[in-house]
Amino acid sequence: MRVIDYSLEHLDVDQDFDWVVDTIPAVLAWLPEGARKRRGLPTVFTLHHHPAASATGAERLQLRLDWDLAKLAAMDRALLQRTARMRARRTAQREHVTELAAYGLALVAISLCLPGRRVVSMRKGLPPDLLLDVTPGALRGVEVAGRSRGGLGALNVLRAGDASGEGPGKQGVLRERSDILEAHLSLWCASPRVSVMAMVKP
Amino acid sequence: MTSERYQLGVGEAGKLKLRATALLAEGGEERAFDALVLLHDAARAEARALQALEHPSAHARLASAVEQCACLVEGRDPTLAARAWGQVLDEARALSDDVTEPMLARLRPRYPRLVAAFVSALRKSPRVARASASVELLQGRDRQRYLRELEALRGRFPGAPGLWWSTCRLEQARGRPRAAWDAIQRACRLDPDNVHYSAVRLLLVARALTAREVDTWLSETYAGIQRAPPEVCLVYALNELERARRGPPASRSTRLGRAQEAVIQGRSRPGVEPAVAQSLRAAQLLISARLEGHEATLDLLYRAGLGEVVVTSPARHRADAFQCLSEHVTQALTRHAA
Repeated sequence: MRVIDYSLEHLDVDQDFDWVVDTIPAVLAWLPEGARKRRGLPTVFTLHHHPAASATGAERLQLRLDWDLAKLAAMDRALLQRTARMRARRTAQREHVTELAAYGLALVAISLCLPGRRVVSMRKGLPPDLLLDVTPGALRGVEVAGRSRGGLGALNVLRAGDASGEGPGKQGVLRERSDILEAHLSLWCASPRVSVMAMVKP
Repeated sequence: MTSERYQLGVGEAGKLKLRATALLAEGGEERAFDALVLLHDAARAEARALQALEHPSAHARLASAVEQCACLVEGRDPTLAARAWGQVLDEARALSDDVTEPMLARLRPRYPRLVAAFVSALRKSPRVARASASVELLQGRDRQRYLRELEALRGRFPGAPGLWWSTCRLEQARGRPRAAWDAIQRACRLDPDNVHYSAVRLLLVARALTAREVDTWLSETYAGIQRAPPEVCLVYALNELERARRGPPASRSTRLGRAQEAVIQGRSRPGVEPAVAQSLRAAQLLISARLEGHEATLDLLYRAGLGEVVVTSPARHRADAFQCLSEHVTQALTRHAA
């Protein structure tokens, strides 16, 4: 399995500061510290990368995510307090922490899997969540989701819908939309640490 | 090619939404309210961005309407979200179902959920639903119940500017100008385009703030008077007139000069409401009389077309033309905003 190392402080180079500064505290708060804190090891995700919309050609990668807290704190002086507030999350906040952490990790995935591409906007009411190109009628973007648990199975349900066939899943919704030219999915699970980055369109 | 202004506008809206999500994730009452304000700002930024497109397609118009509504739904504002939902339905008519269905897939369950929650909460708040037009008349136990219902509603829908407006009026009626000021500030932050909220806020300045704070507010308002709506120009002029009456003689002519400029600005706006135009004319006549060293009499209000106001005012207000006009404007703006 190919291994990719990524340092969170590099995200500021790959994406605009405004997108990075608000998502990093949530990433730190969302990921269980575990081995990283005890032995100084990076946080490892198994990343299932589907570079084309076809069912074939997927690659399994090992994403080793690391960060230097002092360097991150130099970019955002309130980082530690913000992270602590998010870690002490109460029920009402929890879903927002997960949402925000998934955006932050999606920025990492975009920087690695779509090199040179930058997020320019974000949406609340219409997928895809993160936009790479806002041209009306020819949108390009990445739909994002995070789950605390459930692993690859939960992410696949998000992607393609469940066996009951009640919904088309995120992939189906993106494909149905005629105003989207290019779409990707960036899905993350905290426990076990697994991720999907898949092109679903064209 | 997409206009640069559109791209910048949509980018700005996106950053506001992300910031709001971060504040909600951090938690805390003040940060949560700031997040709701940012989501309202994002909805307006989306609307402005659409205006930058020369001929937006039906697709682009619907996408913008959906996004505005989604921001207001997440901004816990059932009233402005309802207005945006109307726009969504209107724009969707221009497109076929197979286009609109996937575009509404995310919003369709969320908006009715918010409305259902609001309707249910209103059902449990009969006094707010019934008596909001006449908050000032509530007394004793009725007022206490109204207050409790309003607090419960605000707890669930803190992004609804109308609930903060009702709070402002209730606090005024309870003789708590500082609390009224805090409430109107929140209403204005959520809905800065509402000229009546802005005008009422300016009316409250002198009652709720210290003399230094009042001066700061008036200076800031005067700095933007060339773009201010007529209602704000009118209230600004009344504030300056009042301070010219009570303040040191040395600053009198400066204050009257600023009041006059505000009235001229207000009257020059296109489509000024007739009632506001009459009050602006009355204020102009009062200012001119003061500047010329004449006594400002009730005749000036008659000449401005406010004779009916003079004859229906309580006797204590009829003794003073300025007070009569000031009371009339306060009541008219409060009624209008309600």
